[in-house]
Amino acid sequence: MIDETVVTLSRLQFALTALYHFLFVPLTLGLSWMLAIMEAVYVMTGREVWKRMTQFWGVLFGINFAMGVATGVTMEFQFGTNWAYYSHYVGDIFGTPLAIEGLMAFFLEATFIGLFFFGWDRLSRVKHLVVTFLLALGTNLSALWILIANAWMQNPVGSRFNLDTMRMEVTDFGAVVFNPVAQSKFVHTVSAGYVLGAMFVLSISAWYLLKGRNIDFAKRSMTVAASFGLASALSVVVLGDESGYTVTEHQKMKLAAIEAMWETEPAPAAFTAFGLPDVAERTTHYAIHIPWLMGIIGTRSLDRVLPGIGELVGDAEQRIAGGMKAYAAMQRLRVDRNDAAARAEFEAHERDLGYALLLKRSLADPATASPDDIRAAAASTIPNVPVLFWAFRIMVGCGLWFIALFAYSFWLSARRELDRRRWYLKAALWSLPLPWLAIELGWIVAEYGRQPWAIEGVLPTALGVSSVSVAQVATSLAGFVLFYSALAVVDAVLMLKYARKGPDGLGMWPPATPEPVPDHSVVAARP
Amino acid sequence: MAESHRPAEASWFRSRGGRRFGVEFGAIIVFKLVALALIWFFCIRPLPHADTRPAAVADHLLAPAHEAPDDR
Repeated sequence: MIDETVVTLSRLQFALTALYHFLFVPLTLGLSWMLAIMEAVYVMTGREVWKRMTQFWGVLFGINFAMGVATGVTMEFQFGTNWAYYSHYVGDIFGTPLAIEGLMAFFLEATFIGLFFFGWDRLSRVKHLVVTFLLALGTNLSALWILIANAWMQNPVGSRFNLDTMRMEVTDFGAVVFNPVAQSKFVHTVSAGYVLGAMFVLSISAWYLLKGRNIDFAKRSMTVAASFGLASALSVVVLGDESGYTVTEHQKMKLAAIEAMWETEPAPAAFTAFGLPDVAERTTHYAIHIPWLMGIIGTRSLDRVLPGIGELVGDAEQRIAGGMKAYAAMQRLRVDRNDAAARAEFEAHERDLGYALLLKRSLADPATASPDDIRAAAASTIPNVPVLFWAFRIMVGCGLWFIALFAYSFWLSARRELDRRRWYLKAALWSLPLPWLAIELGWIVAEYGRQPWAIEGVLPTALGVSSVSVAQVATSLAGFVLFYSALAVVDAVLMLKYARKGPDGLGMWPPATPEPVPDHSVVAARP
Repeated sequence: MAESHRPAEASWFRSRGGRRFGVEFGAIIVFKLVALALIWFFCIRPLPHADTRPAAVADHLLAPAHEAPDDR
């Protein structure tokens, strides 16, 4: 039997390390492109202030990079320690993008970050700009391969279960790479990182303006942040819609849980803007509906029906029954691998095998399952509805706030009034944690919403756990918590120290010799 | 165009503050590598290795079969 405490602790450990790791990643994604934009302006105009901006924000980028790098390594530790059966079952597929990420993207990123910091005096301006672009490219490619691996867990395409090796194996690597879930997830995730990068620059610059320090430096930084942030915030919403559409196609239960859609509604379904989901009663109290919206977002049509939780649980019961046939055929094949009838029976019901494995959570032998056991296993396919419902809505609310804030910042920037409204500067400053909150909630929706599956429809999470004891998982969990807490303290101290010092405190700005004013008369005199 | 091929001007990273930043940057990474190695050595290395031979995985995923050839 499966030890539920080990499963829970292993999940908690992975969730904590993943959420912690993803505090750093999106800032690296966003800031790297902002550095490239600032340096490109420096190369085009020759204005010293843009170089100093690149270097100052580059220092904060460097601290974030140094603190974040290798925090993901502990997740790879866990694939071996806590998730050995998961690693065996799907490692043939899941491991490939992870290896490509390490070999291709991470080496690119790690090489060019050194050149970025220490190449200013050794490289020409253009060469250094190329280095900065390659640094940003490497960072983003890194995210691409990780998200391809993650998307395969949400939509396991291009693979098949091998009866002889007892694991999933790749049948079409192209399908894994061009998985539609991976494409939409990648652009949505990196756009969210760009929003965070822009908010980081906007908020710290707003603080300088509130303090009356580094005025010119901060206003230019805010101008870049406002335009980059507005484009990114709009992209997050548009690409998030695409990501949501892929959920409709491939993870209907997750979508129904996000919407607390307990029963199937006539098309087009309404969107529940607010409500209090009640799991016991399977209803949503005080619900405020927006007619048609969910049907249009989820199906991009007015006549396609979105199934509710009740209907999907009924589908799961049927798939469990089909999976039990595949499971029984596997048992017969284990005794006689040449049993052609058993092999045919297995192939007929192979796609439902994972559903039979849901029964293993409560039964040693799923073949002995009663109708009540099947009903209970089908009900276990419902994720935590209230958590998903609220996590999604807070995330979306943050996204709408980002659009409003960056649009207003852009407008103020165009009117050269960025430093005129203290309430705006305070709003920009206090919005700093919100992109992190939205991003972490996004991951909670994506991963918690996939439960009870490690691989959607293929491998229940509980079956991926290693045969380790509670004490062993608790020990490694304690080690990780101590390690990451120490890193968090060092990170916060260093970030605050350098941000407070600012370009003036660090001796970056203003320059010792005043910057010459560019002579535009030559350009103006041209016919 | 000739302007863009000139090396960039003296960098802040060559200044006293920049060198201090470089030392802190390197120290963080060295500290982390050491900490990760210690975690691996004390928390991860002692853990039992999971048996992931096909027969063992079959036992994990399936109910034990009575006449499995691999188990004999």
